[in-house]
Amino acid sequence: MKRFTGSVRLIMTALLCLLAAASAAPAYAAGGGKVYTPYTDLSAPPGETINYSVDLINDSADILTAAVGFSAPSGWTYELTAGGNNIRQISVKPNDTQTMNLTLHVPLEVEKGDYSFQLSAGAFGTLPIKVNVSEKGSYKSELTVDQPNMQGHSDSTFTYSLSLNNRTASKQTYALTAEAPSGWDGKFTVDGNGVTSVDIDPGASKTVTLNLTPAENAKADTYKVAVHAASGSSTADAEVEAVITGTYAMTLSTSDERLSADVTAGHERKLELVVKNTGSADLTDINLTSTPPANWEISFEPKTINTLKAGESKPVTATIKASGKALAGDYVVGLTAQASEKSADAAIRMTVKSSVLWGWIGVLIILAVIAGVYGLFRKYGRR
Amino acid sequence: MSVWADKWRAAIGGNPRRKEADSAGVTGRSTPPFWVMVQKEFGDHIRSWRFVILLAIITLACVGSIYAAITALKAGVSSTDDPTDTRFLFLSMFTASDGNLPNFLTFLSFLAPLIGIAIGFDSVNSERNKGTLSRVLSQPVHRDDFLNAKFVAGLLLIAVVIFSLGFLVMGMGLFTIGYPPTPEEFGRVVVVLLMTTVYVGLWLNLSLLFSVRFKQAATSALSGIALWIFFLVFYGMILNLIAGAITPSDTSDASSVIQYSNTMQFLSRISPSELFQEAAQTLLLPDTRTLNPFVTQEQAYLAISAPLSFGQSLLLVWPHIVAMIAETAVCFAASYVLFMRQEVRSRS
Repeated sequence: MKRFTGSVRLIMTALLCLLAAASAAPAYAAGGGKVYTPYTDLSAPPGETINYSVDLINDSADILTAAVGFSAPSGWTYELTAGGNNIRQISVKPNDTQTMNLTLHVPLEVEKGDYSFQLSAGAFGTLPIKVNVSEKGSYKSELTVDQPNMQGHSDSTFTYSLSLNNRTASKQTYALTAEAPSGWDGKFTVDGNGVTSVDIDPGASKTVTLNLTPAENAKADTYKVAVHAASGSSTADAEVEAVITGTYAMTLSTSDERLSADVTAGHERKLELVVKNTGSADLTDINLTSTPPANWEISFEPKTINTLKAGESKPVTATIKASGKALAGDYVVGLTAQASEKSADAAIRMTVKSSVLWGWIGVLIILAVIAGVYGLFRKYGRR
Repeated sequence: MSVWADKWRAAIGGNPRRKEADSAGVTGRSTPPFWVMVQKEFGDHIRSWRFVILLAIITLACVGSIYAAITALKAGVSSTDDPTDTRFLFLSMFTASDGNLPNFLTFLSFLAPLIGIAIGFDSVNSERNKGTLSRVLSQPVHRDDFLNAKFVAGLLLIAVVIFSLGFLVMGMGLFTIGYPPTPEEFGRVVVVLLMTTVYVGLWLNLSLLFSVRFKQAATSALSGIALWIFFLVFYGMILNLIAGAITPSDTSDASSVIQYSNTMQFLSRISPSELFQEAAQTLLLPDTRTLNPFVTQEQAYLAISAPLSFGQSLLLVWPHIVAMIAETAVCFAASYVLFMRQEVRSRS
């Protein structure tokens, strides 16, 4: 069905074109020369380039030579070319046709409406051409943001998608700047690459991404960031908003801030830990986990903290049981407090001490040997 | 307690002299006879040619090893894995070597037993053969004082020699590397020197035992030297033979390999020189965390390479020290029983 409609439409267009060509296009000249182009009434937006293929037909028996010219209002530019060169005069052999090209540039700064032109070709006559400018031209750069307002925490990155339009007549190089508050970091990327400036052809547009990283200690507030795209001849401005709801920060340490402890192999050691919420927002579901050396056992009391209000801290007791086979010396025990929003680590250096039990047994053996020698003294020594 | 009371009484009662020629006024009237005997024995040793020759050999060897250590240190062999690591640099004086000569510790474990053997091998039987034993024992002294004095004098002499050699090395180290030892390093060296004294004391007691047991000084010297050579030369070869016989095949599992290595370690620790070397090296190389040649992956996981504290190093080798002290004491007890049961007759 659809295809049928499409083909009907195509035939209709072709018929209309033929009608138009039959009624309007041929302009008869005095000496048997004609000038012809198929589409004489076109619609185009500002900045567009229209190409006309103009046929010059010589019906007479003589060579016809004519000067070609084009009348355009100010701001409109045109080129008449044939065979790759600009031409001002053209000759056509008897009973022959020559084709020349008319390139018409619709200016950027133009009112909406119909515009008429005359292509004059001397002995071939004149060809009237109409152009309907579909919209009002602007002749400036435009910077627009899809979603200027974003909300997040101080440790999140705000990503804005900006669209930069070059509506000027020439290619522009825009320098991109973001007036971020101090401590904030604004970075522009185009097609995944970090940029500070961007080249845009006339009439084209590019999507520029602004990544805004808030300052580490940014307070909860609404921050406005002005974004400028400035080239030598035009500038475009936009404004984005970053709403910071609060900061998440947490520390995990021991109660006396000492990150080393010792433990006897095979024995337990209790460590007093402190989980502190140093941010400005509440933390929830803090789980305490550990990365212990092999065969070590680490348990926490309490194992989870449901909520920790901003600025508050909570003590946690970690019970670290060293493996009985642990070597004497230092081991690293990693402790992690993992909230759904943030995590904090503490690496504790545990010095394993071997059990002194065998040391005392050794002392006992030496004492037994000394006692034995003393017994010999008593038995044999003083007779 | 009564033993010492007896000694005091004996000291006040008489002023025994073992050899008339040596009755110089070094000792006061109140000195107990035991200490007089110790002093005499000590003096005899120091003045003997035997001791001078021995000391010369050992000092030469030590100076050679110090030279090797200094050359190695100057070439920058402080630590193989981290050349900039200057911790315990002072201790490397005892363990470093440039490869031309063995290090101080090896020299000590090789040659120090000779001091013990040389001091002890003829201490009892030569006196018995010369007839001086019965003359000494005819004095108002306890019979065991004779043997005790021999032992104490020998041990004192050994301690003096070992400590002077050790401090010689330390002094040379100070002089060459210009880097004073930390208290911990000093402690480690002193404990190693004490351990060396016990180790040499073991050999002294062995030769004392031989000198009590064998009537001929030559026999006792030979048995002492035979034992020395056995443990330092042949024992390692015998161990290699045993190792070749019981090595598990390549396809055997980990437990049998570990069992094999444990067996070999146990066998090698029967040798007192191995015991001493292992203990001394652990003390002088604080990075040693275990004496076991096998460290399992589980034990090594998350372990940081850091030196052990002095106490922990000492705890690691404490069994070795206990074993050496016990062996020494057992040897002494054996020679004591043997000596006390022997008949002492004046030579006719």
